[in-house]
Amino acid sequence: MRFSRRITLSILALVAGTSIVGAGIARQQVRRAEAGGVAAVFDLEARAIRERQALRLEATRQAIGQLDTNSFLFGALVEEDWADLYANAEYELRALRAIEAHFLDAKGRPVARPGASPSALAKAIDASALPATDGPLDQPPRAVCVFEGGSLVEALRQPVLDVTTGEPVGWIVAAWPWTWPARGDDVTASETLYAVSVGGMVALPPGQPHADWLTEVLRDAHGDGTELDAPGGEPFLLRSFPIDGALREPARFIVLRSLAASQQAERRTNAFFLGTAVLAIAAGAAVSQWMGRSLSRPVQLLGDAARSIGHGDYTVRVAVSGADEFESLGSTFNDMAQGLAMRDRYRNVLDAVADPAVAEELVSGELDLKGRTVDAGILFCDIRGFTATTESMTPDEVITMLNGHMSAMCDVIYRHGGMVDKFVGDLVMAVWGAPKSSPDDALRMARCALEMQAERERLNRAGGRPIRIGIGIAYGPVVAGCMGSSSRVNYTVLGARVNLASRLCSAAKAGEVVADDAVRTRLDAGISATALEPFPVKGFSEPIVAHVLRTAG
Amino acid sequence: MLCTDGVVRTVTGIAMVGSLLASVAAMARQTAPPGADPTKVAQPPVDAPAAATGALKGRVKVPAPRPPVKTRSDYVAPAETTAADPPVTAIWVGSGAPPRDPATTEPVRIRQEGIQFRPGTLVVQTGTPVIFPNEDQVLHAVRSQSSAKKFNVGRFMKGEEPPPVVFDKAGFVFLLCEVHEHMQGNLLVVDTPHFCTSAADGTFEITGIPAGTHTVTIWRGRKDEETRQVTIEPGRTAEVDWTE
Repeated sequence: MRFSRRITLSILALVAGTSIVGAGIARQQVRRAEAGGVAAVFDLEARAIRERQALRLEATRQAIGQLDTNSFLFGALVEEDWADLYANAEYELRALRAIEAHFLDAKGRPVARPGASPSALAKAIDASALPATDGPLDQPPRAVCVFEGGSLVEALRQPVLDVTTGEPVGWIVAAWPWTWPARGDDVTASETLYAVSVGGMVALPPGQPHADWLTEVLRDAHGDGTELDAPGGEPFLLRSFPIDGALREPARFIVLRSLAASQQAERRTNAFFLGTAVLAIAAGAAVSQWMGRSLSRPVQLLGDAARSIGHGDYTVRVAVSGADEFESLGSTFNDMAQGLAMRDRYRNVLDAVADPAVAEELVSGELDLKGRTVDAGILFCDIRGFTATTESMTPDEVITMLNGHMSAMCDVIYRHGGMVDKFVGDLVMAVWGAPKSSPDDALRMARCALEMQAERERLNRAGGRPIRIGIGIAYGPVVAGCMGSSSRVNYTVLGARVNLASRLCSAAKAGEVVADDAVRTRLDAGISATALEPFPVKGFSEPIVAHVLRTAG
Repeated sequence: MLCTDGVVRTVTGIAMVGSLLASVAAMARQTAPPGADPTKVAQPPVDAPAAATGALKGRVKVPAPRPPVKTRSDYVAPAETTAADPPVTAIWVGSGAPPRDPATTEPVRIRQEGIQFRPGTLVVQTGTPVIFPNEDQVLHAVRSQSSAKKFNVGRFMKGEEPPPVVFDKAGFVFLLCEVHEHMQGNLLVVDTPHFCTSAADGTFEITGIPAGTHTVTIWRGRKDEETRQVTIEPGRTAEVDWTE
């Protein structure tokens, strides 16, 4: 897979993963917050209901408490003088603003007003709700919820005590209509439904929507957290808590909270996160595409450039802009290409100014720069009558002619494994056996010399200005090494054999190859040697025995 | 009244208002022989031949002392409140005697002292006037809603003697103070001159009972009343043990 595609895919995967995980976490948080909100609202409602009931209870207790310590009521209850009791209590009972208020005697039996029969509500409260005794004395007074005439009534009972014994001498019972939480007193009101169920009966606040449905559905008990769908599909979450009710019939306050808003909020949240995720992925795709390209483009450029360099094109340069690692890499690459080009040029120059074999050895570092004594063959070749031939020629013509001749001769020398040592004017010097030696150095040199004469003859026949050359070759021990100043050296050979080869070259007539005796002894059957009269040579004490070589047959 | 004209004139000169006159009269009554222990007041007038009477002596159960109260009431008794008198039992012999003449009968006193009724239980014969003097530094208002006598003497401070209340109907009168709910007193109005209240240990003695067989009522509380038969022999003391 391509580098840029890998980067694109990884970034996309990263963005998508982060989006999904982030959206998941956020949704979880939103749901938790929402659930917490529902629970908090419910707890708030529950507390409000309890507090309202407790407040009513306390207010009633205080109001009745006035009666409780009223000596006249106490006296009348002790005397069981009911006419006296109601006569004394009339004002106080009215002050309670209750829809029903009456007394029970010390045994909890209802005491009717003299001359009046108890109301249906009084009968209902006394019959269904209130226990005969009030439980332990340190228990708070109880409230009860009873139904009368289809509406919910909350009744409270307070004992009238004999303060010297702590025993009740009678009871006051008072009842009020159930107080519903005020609707619209907070923002949740429109989303919240209330109900009270006592036994199978359901009481609802007046004017609350869904009355028929609630009456129907709340006949059965539902656990906390039940979801109920109102007509029209609006979902409600039900929670309830017990309130003081008729003893045989547990009473519960029920709060139904609409989930419509929270579900809508959840849908909005989901849509938001989906949208965000899509945007993030799109943005991630764009960014990753750009990043992939910006990363892979320099890499590709560098690769192409490296390939060009591999093919020997050192002129290639990569255009990398910016201030990043790629820019640094690009400029390093360009420097490297430049260095390689420079080296290549140096190598070309080296090849031109030095024998390729020597240059190779120098570059590879194999050449021993110290001088050493080796057996080598030395060849000298010069043009006969060069000065006369070139007299009438322009310098350009001379150079052209000389370069043509030298190139032809050098080709022959290279073909025979010789090392072109130097050119001096029309003279070329070549060496066999240094820097690399082989057993047939002398033979190859002799063959080369004969072929140089043959090549020159062929070229002369081919046209142009005829050039005639003489060649001298010698074989024997020489000192080979790099010689010269500290800043510039030449690899060359020195020794008596070099002088001898030079003298033999001078001695050779045009078209002749003159070799010393050492060469002659190393020839094979392909070459014949004709000995010359021994002749004195400058620098040598003895006359030199030399041979003219010819191709045999 | 045994006042001289001079005294009357002097008093008239000093006291221009009737109420003062009444209080002077009350003070004059207070000069009546002391030793008028309420529990011993219940001696009959000596109009019957002594030889035809006997005595009743013995022991009865007394009401159980009241346990400490744990109450949920808002009522708190004042700090000066002292302990109530120990509960005792009322005993009377026979019934049907005519009431006494309030005008000639020496009034009986039930004090309010230490924010309690003292004595806590008292028996009087019908027609007896009862005065409720306040000996405390706080206001009291003695009243009753009992059917035998509904009354309310109103609020009186210490030293302001309220007018006497005459109890002309036999029965139990539950005494209350409108101000202090813990104050409860038992006044038993009986139509017989032969009665007493027991000592705290239940012992009692009634003298001057005509010889013969009588019904004795033993009263320990509003709903704790019993009767016994006893035969009194002239000049003798019948000893009983009614603790069972």
